[in-house]
Amino acid sequence: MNAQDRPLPDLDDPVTAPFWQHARDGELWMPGCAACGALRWPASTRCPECLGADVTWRRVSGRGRVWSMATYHRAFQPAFAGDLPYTIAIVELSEGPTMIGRLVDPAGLGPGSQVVAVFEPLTSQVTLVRFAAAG
Amino acid sequence: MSRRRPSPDVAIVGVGATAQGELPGRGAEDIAVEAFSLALADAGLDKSRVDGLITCRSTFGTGTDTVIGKLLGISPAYSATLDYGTCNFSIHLAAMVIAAGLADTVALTYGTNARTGHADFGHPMQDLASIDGYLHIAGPAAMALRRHQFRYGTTEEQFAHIAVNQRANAARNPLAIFTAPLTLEEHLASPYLVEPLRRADVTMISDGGVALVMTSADRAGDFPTAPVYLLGTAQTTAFREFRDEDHLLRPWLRDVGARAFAHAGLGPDDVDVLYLQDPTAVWVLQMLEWFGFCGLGEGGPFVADGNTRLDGKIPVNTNGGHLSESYMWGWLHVVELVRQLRGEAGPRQVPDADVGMYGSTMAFEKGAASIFGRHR
Repeated sequence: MNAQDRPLPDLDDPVTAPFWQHARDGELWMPGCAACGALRWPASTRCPECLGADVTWRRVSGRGRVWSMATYHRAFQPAFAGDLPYTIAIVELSEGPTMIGRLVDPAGLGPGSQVVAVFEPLTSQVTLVRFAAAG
Repeated sequence: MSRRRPSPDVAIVGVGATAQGELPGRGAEDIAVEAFSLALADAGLDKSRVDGLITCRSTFGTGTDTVIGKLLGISPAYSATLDYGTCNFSIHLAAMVIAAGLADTVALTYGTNARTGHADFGHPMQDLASIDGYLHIAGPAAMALRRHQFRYGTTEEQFAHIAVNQRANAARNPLAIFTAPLTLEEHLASPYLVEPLRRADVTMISDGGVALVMTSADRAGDFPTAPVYLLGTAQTTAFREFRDEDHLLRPWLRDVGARAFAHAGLGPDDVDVLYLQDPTAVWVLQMLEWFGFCGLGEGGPFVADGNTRLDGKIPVNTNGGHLSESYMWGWLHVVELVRQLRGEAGPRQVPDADVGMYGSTMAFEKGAASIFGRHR
């Protein structure tokens, strides 16, 4: 895949920067509320549960369950044409939050499948978080 | 709520729709102005009598009331712009404006040049997943259908009837863009767009404009057209994060339908024509169930058995909908509903259509429903 053409995250965004830093190390971390403890995803500046503004990042297991998935046969941006077909899934992590990401080797997977986060480098700075069948 | 809500007490007395499809070289606002002229002509109304204007912000951010008002050459007492891309929210705001006494005769406009302007609908669905290709509303809609299949055993063949049915309706609609016959076999043989959705299950992008004229129920008799009264409304939001494995099915829509029916004092069996906003056919499947036209999970067999056809138990999207008529964010669904209740739908006319319902959603964020009738 040609990483130059793909959209890339803003690694300097303080709200999400720790996510990308940890992903480079092969770990999945999420923002948690320093006041009430709730994990939140997508990342945001305040806790949508208690509206607290202080964040404590926490490592999560990366294990979860597929709610559903969809397989793209059309590239809505040219950068993804070479990846077709690819599958995107919504995954409920065992810690509670849901994440959306690509499924690696989706054959045989579907709603209810157990998956685990995997880390695939895209550039020297960006590592993508994807999901694969849990072993 | 325990107290019965007062009736909206407003009516649609004028509708206007421009040509749909490709309108090259024309701006969205120019198209909206043309639609306004058509709606006023339908209502037999001079623009000097319009004292309220509600515009819908268009694809590229244009179409605000301050600009449209200048182009229309009017200075109404009230004006506003809605960002929310479905006609229900505009209609409900007009009802509020009239009920509050801010205006008596409200024009509602929408215009877009999304097609010839090459609007990018491949926009990100969620910030971080989008960098890995999670784009376009077809993505989450495909996931929603997959979940429905998993939960209820819905088949691709059952689901395909929605698009095929709407194409058959569009063939009877001179305004419609996609009118070439589409058989079930052809549809099922076509390639996936985002599996399990195929091309005909997802909206086109089109240019066009639509406008409505609304007034109080008491004044509706002053117009030459047969009034179409708003009998019941409901809205809801779904902003808060869901931790429900079936959230893709959008269970919060049940409450929208129930409250709209309670408001109108009617139920699904009273509805003669049904309009369900359909950026994808999945939304039709969901609203049929949550609004109570069939049981939960029974949408697949319900459409496959022909219940939603023009001659079925509850005709749905008799105009062809977004899938085959035009992508007007629901505005043409309302025009068709009005024409059906007036008895002006020509070869698509449902006999004795007395009550119509229009349901719409903004993806996973908002939902709304309106129930209309020929009688107050």
